[in-house]
Amino acid sequence: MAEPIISTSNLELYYGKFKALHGINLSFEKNQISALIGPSGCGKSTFLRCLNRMNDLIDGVTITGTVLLNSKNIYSPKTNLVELRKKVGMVFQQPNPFPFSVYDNVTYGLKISGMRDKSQLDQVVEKSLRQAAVWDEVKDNLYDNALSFSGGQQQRICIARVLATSPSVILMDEPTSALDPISSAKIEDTLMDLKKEYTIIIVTHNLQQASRISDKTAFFMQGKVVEYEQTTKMFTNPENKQTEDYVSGRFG
Amino acid sequence: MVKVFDEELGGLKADFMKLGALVGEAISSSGQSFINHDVDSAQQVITNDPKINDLQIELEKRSFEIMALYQPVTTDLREVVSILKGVTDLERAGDHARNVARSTVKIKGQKRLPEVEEIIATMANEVSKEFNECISAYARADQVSAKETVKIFADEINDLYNGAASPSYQAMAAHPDIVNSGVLYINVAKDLSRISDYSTNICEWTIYLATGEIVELS
Repeated sequence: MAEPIISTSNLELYYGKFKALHGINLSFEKNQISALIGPSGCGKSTFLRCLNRMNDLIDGVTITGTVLLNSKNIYSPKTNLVELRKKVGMVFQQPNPFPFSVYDNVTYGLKISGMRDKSQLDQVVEKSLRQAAVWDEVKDNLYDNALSFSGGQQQRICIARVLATSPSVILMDEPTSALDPISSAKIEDTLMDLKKEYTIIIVTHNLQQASRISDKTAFFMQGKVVEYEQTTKMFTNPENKQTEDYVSGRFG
Repeated sequence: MVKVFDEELGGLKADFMKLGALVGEAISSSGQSFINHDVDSAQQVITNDPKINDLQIELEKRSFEIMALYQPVTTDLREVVSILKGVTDLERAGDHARNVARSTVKIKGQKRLPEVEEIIATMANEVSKEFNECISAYARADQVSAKETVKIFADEINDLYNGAASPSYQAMAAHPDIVNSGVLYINVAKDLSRISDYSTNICEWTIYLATGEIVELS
């Protein structure tokens, strides 16, 4: 395996006394899409949120183990959380654009970090929206409220908002579960293009989506990784019986 | 939904085994009819061949439907794929059995070569045995048995083919009046040899079913 861009070692997470993650060791390669699958409550979203310290915001959470991003532990006290979340961006299940224009949505992160040059911001807006495959649909309405677009377009605007800060890794938590099949297909096409430049880790309940777009798949059960394999192997001949039963729809 | 899918897949597999049994019967009957010069029995094999073709097409259609409607993965996918590929091999093996039956009808009244017929009789029995072993290995998804069957029979059947073909060519060169039956002996030996090849293919699909590996056994 090539040098991983992000990896976890013996990662454990407790919600109070409840142990939600049991010593997770996973490594994610650069320019790959990795899918996290498993039944509801198995810990896959909890794990995903550990990768940019989103769980820090939840009361009573204890996290042990390490998460290395480019060989640096993100749980080190020296970590700057704003910088971390620029490098490890996140797209959520429900499209959540801010209630202002497309332009302001995409430039939001850049303005916070001090970028003011209008021509530079214009360039980033166009590049990010193009990469998110939504430029042609919004270019004539950049100053319309982002909430006035369709769900699929809103989600791609949110992806553009993440891309604008030039992240290394993009985390996605069921990014198409609220969208119709056409919009989902556009997002999937977008992800396939984006992986040339970014590393994508996606939580999905849609097993066909995982098999269509991901290079590797991790199957979670009860806070543990049951199997982590090349996706083609996972969906044709998995090692573990539990994986087989889950991906073939026999439980979960 | 899983229950409906399991029933569909179970039905597909049961009918694949039924196709295997029909083809196995055609191979055995055509071989025996050739050995015993039994034209009536050969005619029966020829008459039954469309049933094999119809079942092959039906199984193909059902496999496509299962893939489109249920998107099977893992063992289920390997089962559907191996059946979809295997039905073609079975149907072709059935065609060669029908050819043997046609040769049985054609050779009636022609001059015979008993020593060649003896080799063809052995070959027909071995090919039939090999085919049945292959189908049985598939039914059990038994990759070890599949490999073993090819190992046991492939070379032997190749030798028997040469054993039947060489004296036929020699006899035809020496006695022009044997040409008609000589050609039919060679054709029958070739048909039996092809049936053996299709049995090998079924063994390869058995290995795919059991392991996900696509291998070349011959």
